[in-house]
Amino acid sequence: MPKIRTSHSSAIALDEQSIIDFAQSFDPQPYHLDRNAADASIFGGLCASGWQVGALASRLTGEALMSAGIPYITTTQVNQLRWLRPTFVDDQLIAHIEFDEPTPSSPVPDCDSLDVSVTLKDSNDQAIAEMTCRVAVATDATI
Amino acid sequence: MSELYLRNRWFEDIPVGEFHVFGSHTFSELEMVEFAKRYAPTPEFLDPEAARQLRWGGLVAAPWHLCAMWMRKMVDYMEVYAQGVNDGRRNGAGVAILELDWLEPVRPGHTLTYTYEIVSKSDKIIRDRWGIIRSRNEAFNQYGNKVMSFEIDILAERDL
Repeated sequence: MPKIRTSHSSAIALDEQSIIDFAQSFDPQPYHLDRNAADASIFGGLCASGWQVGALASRLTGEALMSAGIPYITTTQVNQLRWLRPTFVDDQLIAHIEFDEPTPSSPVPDCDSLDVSVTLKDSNDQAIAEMTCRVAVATDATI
Repeated sequence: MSELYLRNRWFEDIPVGEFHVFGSHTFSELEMVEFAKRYAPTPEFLDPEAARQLRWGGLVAAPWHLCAMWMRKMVDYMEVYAQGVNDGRRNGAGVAILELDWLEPVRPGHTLTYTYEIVSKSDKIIRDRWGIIRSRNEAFNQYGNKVMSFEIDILAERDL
């Protein structure tokens, strides 16, 4: 059996301004832009676009891999991303990851592929989202 | 109800097989760099000069930037037709993304065109009120090459 390794990222806090900034550019719906409209919506409060959460999940996954000595370049596939609850103002996001060994070949030049399971958690260790993804890691970290 | 009011349709009103070409966007170097600063701070996505010497031979868009723009184009397209109910929306909240593949690099000046097709509807009812609708979404560049595809499950209110 391959040896499963684990790592985690630092925490990123999502403040109101960064949620609204992203929403204005990419997801201008009331529950991502306006507190009052959000309180009355399906989500029950101002919350981040799911795509902002996804982008941050990948950024934090890269950081967690780097801190484990794995030369992360980018994410090439997301097999599944499941949003478990809305990400509200001032939630702290931390990626907890599991991975084993890279396999040769990747759509990214000079890279191998690595499958990573990610749980995005808040500062109370409660899961916000789960993601399984394939990332590209540099074959030769000096390239 | 007019079929044009896309966001206020009930679960039952949304047909499997429905297909829309819903938007296009030309990516600039500036917006690619701005996105990368916050969401993918890697030289390949962030630094046009450094990126020339790196693995794609020039700056490319961060993968999630292509998704974020998908969302923007979807909102722009749908919101025009969100009328007639409380906040105009009976569908759209995302539950999960499946099989998201980024297939080719997108460079400054490339234009992506986005499409979706409704592929299935689940019988499951969530909290006595919501159904799940799955769509397949694709983005093509100006050469007609597919650069991204994924499926997404969204909630749509049941007309019970």
